[in-house]
Amino acid sequence: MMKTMITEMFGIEHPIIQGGMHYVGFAELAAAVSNAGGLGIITGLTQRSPEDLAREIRRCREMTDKPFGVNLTFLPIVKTPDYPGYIRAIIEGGVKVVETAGNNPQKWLPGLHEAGVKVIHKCTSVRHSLKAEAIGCDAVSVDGFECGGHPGEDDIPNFILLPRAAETLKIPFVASGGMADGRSLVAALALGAQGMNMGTRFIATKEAPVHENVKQAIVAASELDTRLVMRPLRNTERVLHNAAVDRLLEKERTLGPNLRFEDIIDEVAGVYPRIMTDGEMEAGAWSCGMVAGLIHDIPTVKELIDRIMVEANAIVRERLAGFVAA
Amino acid sequence: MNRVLAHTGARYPIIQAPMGWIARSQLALAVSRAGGLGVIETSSGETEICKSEIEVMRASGLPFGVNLPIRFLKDDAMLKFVCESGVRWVSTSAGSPAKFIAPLKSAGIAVYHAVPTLELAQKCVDAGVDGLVVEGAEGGGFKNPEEVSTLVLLQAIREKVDVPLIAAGGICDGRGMAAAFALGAEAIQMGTRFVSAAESPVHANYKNAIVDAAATGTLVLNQKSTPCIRALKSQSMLAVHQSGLLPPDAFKGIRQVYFDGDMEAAPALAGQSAGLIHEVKSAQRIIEDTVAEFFAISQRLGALASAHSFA
Repeated sequence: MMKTMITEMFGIEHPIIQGGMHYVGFAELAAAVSNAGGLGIITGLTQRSPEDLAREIRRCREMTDKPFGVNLTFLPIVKTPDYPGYIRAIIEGGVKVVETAGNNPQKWLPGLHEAGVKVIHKCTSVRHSLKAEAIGCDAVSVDGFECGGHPGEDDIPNFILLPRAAETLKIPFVASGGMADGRSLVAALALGAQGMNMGTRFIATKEAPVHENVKQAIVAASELDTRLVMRPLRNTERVLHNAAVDRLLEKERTLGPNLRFEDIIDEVAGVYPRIMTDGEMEAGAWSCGMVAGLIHDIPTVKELIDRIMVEANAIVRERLAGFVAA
Repeated sequence: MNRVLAHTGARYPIIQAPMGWIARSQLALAVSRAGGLGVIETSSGETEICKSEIEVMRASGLPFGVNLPIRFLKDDAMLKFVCESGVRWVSTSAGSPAKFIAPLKSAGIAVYHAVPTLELAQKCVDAGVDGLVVEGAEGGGFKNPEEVSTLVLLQAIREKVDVPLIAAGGICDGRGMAAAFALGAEAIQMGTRFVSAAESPVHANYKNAIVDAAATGTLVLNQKSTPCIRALKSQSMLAVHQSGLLPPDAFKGIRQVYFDGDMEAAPALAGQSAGLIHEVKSAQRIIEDTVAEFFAISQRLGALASAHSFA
């Protein structure tokens, strides 16, 4: 184990959080991560209704007696999900950690805090992290430019973003983006984080309930194989390169500033079940971090977390401490 | 044993980057005196001046390095001069180092090539370099348009090669140094941090622009053409960013930026670490603070690990 402000806040053994991922964060993965001493996260909106989420929380509870969390993403979409219902399912399900993402979660904080739920908000900039702190979030997950999914529009990698966050924030934060192993965990801690959040790395594990093709695609990818899409819409997403992404980027080039979301709907809307469940790897654009280039195998979650902690320990004891002695 | 220290003879594994016109003896001597490795540039193309700067470094008796930007060298004259200059460490950049490795090595010089990708790193190791300067996307100056950040690039290269790595790009203090060492580097190279050093020969406006810059204060320009560069945001560079293309004569006013402080005259090259640089410091303080912070972090993390067993 390794004690940090994050392990203490969430009651976990290792400072490792599994980030919420659409059509990946089911009970099987969350329970495996929590059982291995990290913090597993169920993706709230992958569940179609609050009742489904309540059922998923119960399923997770049957598989682990360790703490786990739920991700709740607040999106500016027309047909708003039943957020009060989802929050109720979280609180009544006894979940004590919520990872929020997207829009400002301020209006949901009092209810969650009253129920003893800790809130960690995903932020891609120091500016948003400060806002999260000001509205009362308990922690922040700082997403560097390397991260899969939405890295924001500032393009600041973690070597810069994490120290800036450490200089500015009072609440603890974990590093997200580019994290895969013990080396990245120690780097994150050195740069001021209190732990790390991994997404892509956890998809390529035995327990991740996704199609084998997805895991193989991550293992096969190099650090040059992700692309940024939807930048013209100021909704940038880092995805794994495939034929659909090429089509999407071609539309972005030809339509230029006239690009609208409707133009790329075939490549981005409703593609997650086809990719994650059915393994149709060319069906559309799916989030994947630059860190895919550092992922070469498909271990169990426990093997992964154990070896991260052994490696992290060896690095701080031998490599860094050795330098101090010399 | 730290192989970069063995190759350079420096006291600390901290290398000063070879910025054109800036990496001259005034700065390099200050860095080498403080225990780092001062490096003399030759990319300005001011051959005679660069040669006499190398002479100044040799006369000091301090460890130092020279950079050879292969594509910018008109002939073999500089290579020959460097081979006979008494320097122990050379970084090569901008082009294939293949033809340079044998003459430099037979002159007893350790050769490190600067690489922005894993593919190039492996080619250079096959060609026989002694080490690599791994340049992440965060860095300033001339860039590879395929952006892989230091965090990922350093590990990707470390996994595949055994030569010593110097981490560059986004590093300006002991935090970055500790992170780079955790990822497998044996030394760090800092550019923007030393451009803004007290002994740096550039105009105060340039140093202050770095100190004032936020993490978002730089732009990647000319990404679809060559040369792709990272420079400080300015009115003129915002215009270049909008148009997407760097005018062919963009660097004409570079001396006005560097030495007259006209920040609009040309691209003021700088890395994203400008967002972490908050004051002008002497080279000695930069190096002392970096080393002290590195030690403190190593001890903090060591305590974190040793207090709790992973068994």
